[in-house]
Amino acid sequence: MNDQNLEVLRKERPAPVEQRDAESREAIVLLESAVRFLRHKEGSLKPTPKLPIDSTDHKYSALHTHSAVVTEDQDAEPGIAENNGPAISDQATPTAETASRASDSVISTIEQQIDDIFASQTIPEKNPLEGVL
Amino acid sequence: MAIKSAITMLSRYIGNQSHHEREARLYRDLMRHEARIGGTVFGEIPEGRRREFFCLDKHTWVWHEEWTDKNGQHKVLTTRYDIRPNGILKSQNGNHYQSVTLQEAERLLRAAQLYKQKIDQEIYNFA
Repeated sequence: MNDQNLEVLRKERPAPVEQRDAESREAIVLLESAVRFLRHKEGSLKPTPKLPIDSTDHKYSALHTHSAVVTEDQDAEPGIAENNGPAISDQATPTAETASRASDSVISTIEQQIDDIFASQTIPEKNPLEGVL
Repeated sequence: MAIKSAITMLSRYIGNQSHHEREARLYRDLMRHEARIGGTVFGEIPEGRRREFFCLDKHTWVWHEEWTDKNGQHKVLTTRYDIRPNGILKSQNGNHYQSVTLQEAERLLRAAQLYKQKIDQEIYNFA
């Protein structure tokens, strides 16, 4: 195929040119989608980092929920993964935003615990250390 | 009258057939040209080696290499990548299919993107 032929093809754009262009464009989209799926799969198979807290404690359910999303996606239907590719990838790889949401939740749980402890205690009328010092 | 009509129909049929043939030939020529351009996305092709990389259809990518080894033997390796929604399968020289790793898939994607960029520039002139 010489330059002259190519020039004619560019101007006239016959059906095979349109067909090849559309096919290669669609092929890239499908390949990107398959790679996204593999990235997600690879990401979800990585061991979850151990937290310095008792993960069986129901108080940290926010973190459990986050892990559950990732685990559930592992068995997701390929079609679903294809349609929701970017969204699923975002869930699979916790971003700074999701990590921050998780830690916000832990902090608020701890704050609530502290509030509960203080609320349950009767405040002594007199400082017990008064007079000792 | 009947003979005239038959001749008209026949000439139309031949005309259509040659039109389809021309289109099919152009399609094949475009693919061959793309394959040669595709072969350059992996860097310089060593002398005496033939390398082609192209999109066969929307689900299939082909990487073809031909070279002569130290013993003077002609070698051919055709790798076919089948793109599925839940992964990528690879078959070499028509042998059984195997799943590709994420690393290989990432490389294939990068090669395909460069291929598209190059064919747009050199053939379709869209870029």
